[in-house]
Amino acid sequence: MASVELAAEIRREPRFAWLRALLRNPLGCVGLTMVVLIIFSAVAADLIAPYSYKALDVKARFSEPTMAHIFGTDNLGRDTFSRTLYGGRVALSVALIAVSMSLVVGVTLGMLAGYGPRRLDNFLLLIFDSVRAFPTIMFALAVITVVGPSINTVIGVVVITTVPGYARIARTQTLALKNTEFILAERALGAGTLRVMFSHIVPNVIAPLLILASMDIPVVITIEAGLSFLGMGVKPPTPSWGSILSDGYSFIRDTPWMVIAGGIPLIFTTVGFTFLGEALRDIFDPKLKKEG
Amino acid sequence: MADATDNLLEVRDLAVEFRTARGTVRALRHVDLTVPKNKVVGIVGESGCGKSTLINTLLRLLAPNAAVPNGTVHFQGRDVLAMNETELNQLRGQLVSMVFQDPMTALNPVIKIGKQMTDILYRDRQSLSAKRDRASEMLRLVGIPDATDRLNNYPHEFSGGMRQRICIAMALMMNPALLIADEPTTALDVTLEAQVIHLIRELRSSFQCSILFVSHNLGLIAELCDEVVVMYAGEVVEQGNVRDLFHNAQHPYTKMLLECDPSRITEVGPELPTIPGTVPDLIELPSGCIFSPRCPKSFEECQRKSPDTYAIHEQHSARCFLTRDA
Amino acid sequence: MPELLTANNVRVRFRTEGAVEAKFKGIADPFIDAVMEVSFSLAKGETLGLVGESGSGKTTLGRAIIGLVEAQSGSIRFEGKELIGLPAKAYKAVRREVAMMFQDPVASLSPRKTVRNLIIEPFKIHAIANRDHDQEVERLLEMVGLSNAYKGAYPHQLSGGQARRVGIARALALRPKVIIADEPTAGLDVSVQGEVLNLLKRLQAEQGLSYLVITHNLPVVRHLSDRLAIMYLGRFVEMGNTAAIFQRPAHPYTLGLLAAVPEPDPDKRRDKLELQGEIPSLRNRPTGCEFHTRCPFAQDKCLHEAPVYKEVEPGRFASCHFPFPDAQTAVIS
Repeated sequence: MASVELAAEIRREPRFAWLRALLRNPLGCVGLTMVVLIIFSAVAADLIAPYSYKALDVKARFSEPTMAHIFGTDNLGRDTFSRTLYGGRVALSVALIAVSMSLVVGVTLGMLAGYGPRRLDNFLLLIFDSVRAFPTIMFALAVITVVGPSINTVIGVVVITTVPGYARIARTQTLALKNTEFILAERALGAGTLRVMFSHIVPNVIAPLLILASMDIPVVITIEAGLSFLGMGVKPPTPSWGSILSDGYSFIRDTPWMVIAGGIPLIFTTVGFTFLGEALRDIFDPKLKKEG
Repeated sequence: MADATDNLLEVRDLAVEFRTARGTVRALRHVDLTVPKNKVVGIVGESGCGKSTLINTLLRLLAPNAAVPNGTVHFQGRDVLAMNETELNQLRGQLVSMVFQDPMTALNPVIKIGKQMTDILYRDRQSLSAKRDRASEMLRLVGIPDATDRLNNYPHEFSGGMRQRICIAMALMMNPALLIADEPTTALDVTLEAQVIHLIRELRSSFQCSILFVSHNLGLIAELCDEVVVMYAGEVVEQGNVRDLFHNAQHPYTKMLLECDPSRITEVGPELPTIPGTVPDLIELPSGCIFSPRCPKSFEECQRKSPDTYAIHEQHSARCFLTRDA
Repeated sequence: MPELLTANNVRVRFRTEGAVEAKFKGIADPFIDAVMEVSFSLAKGETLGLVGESGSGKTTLGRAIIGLVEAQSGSIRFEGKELIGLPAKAYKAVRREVAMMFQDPVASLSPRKTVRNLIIEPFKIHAIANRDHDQEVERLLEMVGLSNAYKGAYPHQLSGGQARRVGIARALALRPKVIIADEPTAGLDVSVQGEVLNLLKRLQAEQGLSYLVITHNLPVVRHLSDRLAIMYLGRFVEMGNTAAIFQRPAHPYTLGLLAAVPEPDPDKRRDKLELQGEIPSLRNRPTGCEFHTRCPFAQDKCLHEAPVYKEVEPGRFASCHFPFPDAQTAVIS
């Protein structure tokens, strides 16, 4: 004699409820548009760019923006607009690769620290805090001086310096979740450590970390630009917004347009990702809860 | 009903709604409630019955998306819904005070008990030492040993039962006219619960205040209250004198609730009675009587029309057609 | 009746301070004994209630049986196999036979998993192949009286009663022999409690399950259990047949507990308070009989000498120097 409950319609939360919420948020809309634009222009650089980023046209050097060269040309007569587009590729790939790697490594280490034995926790904390004590740029310069500048070095340095930030947050969240009833229930069912960590803890700690990651992307872009500005980033002739800025800075008396061309995309990207990140944070934190 | 001048709190035909993304939640409808002076009135109801909303309305602590489309709330003859901030400040904490369910979260964990208690007396122009004396006297009254010393302790240095006593002491310190106790013993063990209820009973006579006691525990209601109000899904379905309610319940919901109480059952049968079904959605209310979908005695009219409150005798009424027809 | 689960002198200790901190604070023994020498047995198809208030150790005992906390000494045997000290891998096999239901129905379900995934989880954990998962989900949901439409729901969308049923479905997934239910009716409205209790009883009759019910709710445990054990400060103070205990308690604490439950009848108000005081801290256990600080009947002997837990009449055990004889010496007026 089963008392079957009248199945009220389960209000299924639409899977992309967050996307809808984002579109309702004006800042989020703007941010999303900007980010999409940036990504598109970087990915489709081959199609959009009128010239190759290395093509020289020395006679036309230092020209102001014209129909032929929308952003003008640089000291070697290269089209600044094209270089800016390809520079976006560098910026985005460094940022996205570095941040994703940091996220994965950081979350894993943080969870291990939170969930594992005390000694492991103490050991990892020691490492995290030591790394965080280093100023990022100094560390980067030191490493690059030894190893030599390249895109991979930049990514490596960024990963090492940002992992502790993610790891700490992941650790705190894991510690908070460790003794909740649902984790105990899983352990009582016989779930092993790996399953508990990756199937149950990760989904519940990931939200603030993803937001942090999206806010970190402009930071990493800026770091890369900074390093390239100092000549410690990508090797020429690969364009980076930082190296465009650097060249433009040296030749500012000849044309101001190079500096503008290097600076505007940086500002645009930073603002876009920041708007997006903040809108996402407003949506996810506090979590969407059941009504009533 | 008692003479109007004897009533501390009068709620008439109160309706409260909440605007949400899904629609308007009609949390309270046609609520009548009377708390006479020096009486204990119990509110019994299960989840979703609206008792929290009712309490919040009394103290004007409703969320921003709430609206009161209908009804009046009069405290000591004054209209609560029309009060301004100054009047509300006098109402909250001084004329009406409250004891909450969870003593752990009701107390500020980083401030010593003594300071929290003297802070309540901010309206008085007494010296700090006089206030501290009053505070330790209250602690003594509620049975905390070494009261004067313990003023310097933090909440976490007390056990759960003691913390609830402290909350009661704090609530009574201002000599309120009305004490609202919202499930004050739900978080306590049964022996501590008995002690706290015993304490409330003793203090009630020395403090001469009315008490509005909200609980889902019928045993406690029977233990403490003079009058009882039964709520279901935002409506008052029955109210009356405590004896009438327990010995002569009229509304089918009240009757079934009493039957379901496991502490009433002395002969252990194979099955416990239940009330099948679920509480209705407060956004899309069914037509007719709110309880009719689950009522074993509902007939055709119940599904069409919503009953009014009908009197059984002077102090006992129920919102049911069966009462009307009896 | 074959004993399915037996416990013998089980002891669970928790460390309160690290060695250095303890020395610094001058604490000789930085441990608390949450469970002190507890023995009981559970037969097939039987329900044993563990009753106690906070600090009684009932939850810890339940967790020790399922292996979430480690017992320091004594023995816990399931079907003859010793569980204390069993390595994790072997314990996993035991967890197919002994399941646990936790107190907070919604919080014990992983928040980002659907009901379907939650119910399938036991199958995945124990790598049980060749099962049509959706069929299992449907079967189990039906068994607990939930419509299949709930399988896409998330825990926060469920009511307390519904979440409780999902918990039961999970516990039943692998057809265990014993279910440990921690406060099975906590957080449920009275009108819904009956449904859960009736369900549990029906499932027990259909599947021959044994239950260990951990609760502080006396009326509920009266309805569910065949035998009862009352716990105080980690020890059993009384154990025996449920109906008999309710009618004629032997231990003063049991009497106090029973007297503390309010009756839903205004004519039966209690004027006298039975049990005063609070549960002593586990750090400072009282001397002699640990209940003497609150016992209305305490005598000189009780302060100095600890009573022995023994059989005071056939089938009834109590830990008291002066257990009540046949007639209930009523102090409740």
